[in-house]
Amino acid sequence: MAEPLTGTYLDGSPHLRPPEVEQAIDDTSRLPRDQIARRLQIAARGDPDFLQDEVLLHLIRNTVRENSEAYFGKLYLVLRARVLRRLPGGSDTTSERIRELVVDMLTELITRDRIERLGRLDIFECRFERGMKLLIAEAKRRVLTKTSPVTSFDVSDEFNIPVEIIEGIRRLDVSQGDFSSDPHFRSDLIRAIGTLPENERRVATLMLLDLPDVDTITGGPSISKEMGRSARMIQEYRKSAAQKLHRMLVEGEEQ
Amino acid sequence: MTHHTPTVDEVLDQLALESVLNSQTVRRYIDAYPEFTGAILDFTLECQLPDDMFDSPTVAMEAAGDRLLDGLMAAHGSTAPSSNPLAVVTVASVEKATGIAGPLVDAMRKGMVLVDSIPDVIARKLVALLCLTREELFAGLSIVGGANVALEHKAVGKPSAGRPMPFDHFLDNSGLTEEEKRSTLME
Repeated sequence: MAEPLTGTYLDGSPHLRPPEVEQAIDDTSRLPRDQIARRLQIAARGDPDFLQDEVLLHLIRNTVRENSEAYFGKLYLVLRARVLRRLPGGSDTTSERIRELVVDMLTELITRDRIERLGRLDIFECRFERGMKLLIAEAKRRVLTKTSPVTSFDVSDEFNIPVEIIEGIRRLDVSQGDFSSDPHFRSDLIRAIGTLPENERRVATLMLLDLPDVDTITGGPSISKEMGRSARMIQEYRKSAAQKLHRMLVEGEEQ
Repeated sequence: MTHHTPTVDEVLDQLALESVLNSQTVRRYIDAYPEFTGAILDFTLECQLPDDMFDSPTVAMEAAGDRLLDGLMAAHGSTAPSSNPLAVVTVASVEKATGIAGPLVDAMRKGMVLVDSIPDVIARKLVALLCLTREELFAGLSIVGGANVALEHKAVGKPSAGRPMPFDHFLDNSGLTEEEKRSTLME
């Protein structure tokens, strides 16, 4: 049985690894080191001997008292490859800065964890992909907040918002799975939403969650309520967002 | 029941650890922590993006990978007191602080440079930067390959560490411009 995680949920109970991760760690910990080393070389995720990212993080956390440079060097090299595959692409300076921030934050987490166990690194040992998403979202927020233009956008009432944009956003209900016949459209749309100014990004993302603009009947969750803005303002943000998305996705304009 | 007011990081961490992350989950969090709506939505949006999953990372991507590896090896080296002192810092930071060209820092870091051949000016810069005595610096730099297993893996296709060579050899074969060489050897 692997050492329990030390981080806690908000109610004070300790973080728990998903059962399949717990099992994989148990199985791996019984292996001799040369076999672990062999399995670390396997990059094909479909291979039954592939070591999950979460197991890799567990092994890395356990190198805190490790003196074998060959061993931790190997682990770090595999981590490098796994992280690389999950970093956002792009060759512009903004993308580069985002990647740098992500790897710096991850390095800091692993470094601090070697001194005192960090609850945040537990996420990587439970759900590695989500841990990476957290860091990427944080890095984007920091970098894009600094670089986003603050100029207002001319919202014309006459502008005919293309129905495919609105429908595209509506189709992106996160609970549904595959939303569009064209998977590229979905990822392009989400990427484009990510580049919108803050209020427009919020509105578009809340639309992904299928929230209505307002709910005057039950007073339940709505975009207006979540953002603390009037229905009129929400419509303005949405119109502006839709115009920009149209320019980016249909006319190919860079944001 | 705790009365601790959670921070945005604590809320995001808990959300990330949820077994099911769908629109209902996200809405529940937004309702419970409206003050963190922005961060919750940014994380949700990011989770909707498929990973790029590059099979052949670009040079720019590789740079990020090297940065990660440098940072991790430096952190690991910092817990090993006998390791090469340059293993606990990044090449870029040494280059920036001292003007010593990166390839030369890297070579010293890997124990590839004959310690006795390191010019005084270079030694003085490193002693000042690393807060070491000259003896401590030279003792550390003489550790061949110290804490640099992974760094050598990075340099696939490049000459491996092997026997230490004189500093001038690396300077002459570094591909640096005359200006960069002057900057490296300048006080």
